[in-house]
Amino acid sequence: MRLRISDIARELSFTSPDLITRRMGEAMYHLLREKIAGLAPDEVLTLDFEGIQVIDTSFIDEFIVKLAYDSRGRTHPFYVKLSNITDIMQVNIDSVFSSHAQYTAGSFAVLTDRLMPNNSYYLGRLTPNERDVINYLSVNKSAHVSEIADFLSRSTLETAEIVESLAGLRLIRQSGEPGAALITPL
Amino acid sequence: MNAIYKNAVVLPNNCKDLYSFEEVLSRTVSLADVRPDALDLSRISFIEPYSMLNLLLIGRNYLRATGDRLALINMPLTVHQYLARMDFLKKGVFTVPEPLDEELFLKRSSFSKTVIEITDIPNKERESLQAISAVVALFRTRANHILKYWIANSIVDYFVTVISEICQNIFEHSLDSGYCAMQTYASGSEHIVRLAIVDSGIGIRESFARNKEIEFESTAKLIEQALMTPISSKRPFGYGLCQVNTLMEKLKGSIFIRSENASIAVMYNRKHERKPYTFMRNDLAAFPGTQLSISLSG
Repeated sequence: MRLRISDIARELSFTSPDLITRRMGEAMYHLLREKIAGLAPDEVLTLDFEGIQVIDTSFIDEFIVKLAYDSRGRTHPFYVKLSNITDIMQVNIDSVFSSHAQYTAGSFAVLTDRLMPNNSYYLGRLTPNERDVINYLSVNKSAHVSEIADFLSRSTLETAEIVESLAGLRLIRQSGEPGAALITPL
Repeated sequence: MNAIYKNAVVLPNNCKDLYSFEEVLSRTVSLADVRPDALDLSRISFIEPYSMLNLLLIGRNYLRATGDRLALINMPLTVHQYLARMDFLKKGVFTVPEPLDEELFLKRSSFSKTVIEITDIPNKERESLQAISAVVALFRTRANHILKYWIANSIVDYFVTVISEICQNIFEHSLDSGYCAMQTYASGSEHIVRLAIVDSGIGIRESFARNKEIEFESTAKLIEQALMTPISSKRPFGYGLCQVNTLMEKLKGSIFIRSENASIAVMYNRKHERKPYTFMRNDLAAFPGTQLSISLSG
């Protein structure tokens, strides 16, 4: 499902190219949750920011961060991808996600539809191995854990854990048994 | 006519920059005890946005403390014109015994494009959000003129973020209302764009008093911590000031924050050994609230 954020904003009478403040983020989040009620399990939700110039950190915290956490839900998991984001959005999103990662002492990232300044297709903070897997899959499209293990020079067991972590963050798909799963990017 | 004001405080000509304005603040902190009848601006030759907004706070604090409005007297014509143009005199904080002749008002059409007039930032969330949206929208319409000496396309978006982040801090943390203004002006051979956002609320130290996990040596150190790390007084972590700092580093600008008796200045335009010049003080005159200036020079 691809949703244009500017259309949703307009429904809430937000006509500015700037989506700022917590209140705006909250309102957008609640309306978007209604719209994605029919999302199929494991479907990719693409948030298209065309027509939007700025989203500030408060908005990001109330909107994208909440959706990222929702996407990891056990009952109705989905994937989130960001599209048409501006330079300032990248800077602001990256800061918010990095803070979350720092606070939770873990990884926190969301996929993007184009290469970011970090030379990867995501924004946020991942471990170097997690980043390498994302980059490997963006080139190779699909791989088994053993192939990724060769690329990382890690054991299959260690690699399976990295892959499991990325799957939990909803950044990759994996099908089949852990350890022998086929890994595909979104 | 001004002879009736026998107990006026004469302000020094120290409204040209953030640092010299401290002299004005130190002379006016005890106004409510002295009970002057006017502020004499005869010596003022220029007022930049940060000084202007703080002058407004001085008047508002006096009004709140005494119930009386101070008169502004002996204003030089250019200062009077500027204050009128920036809507300073419409805020109902001061009286002006000698109003400006309408013919002498600065034309809004020619001067408008390089300024954002003084805007109230209320302390109630709903009204505050409307005010912030209005400031941002106005900034967008004038940004090409305000930032005409800075050519990067993304700079407008950066400033939208900065305005939003700082103004939200007023209703989120200060527990008071505040003011916002912006202007591009020339200082010698330099062009300066300055965004000033001020309030007279509880201040940064008091705001963080509820968060017992954050330890600090001094108020200036606490402000530095809030600038450099994502800490928050209300949530497990925050972004506002920290994000403003990140953006100013990218733009090679400077940040000045004053709260109570402390201040910090971080200048990314004057780096030394890859670190910005940073100045901290904890010995300033006690002035309530938080006052912030963001500047680019070029």
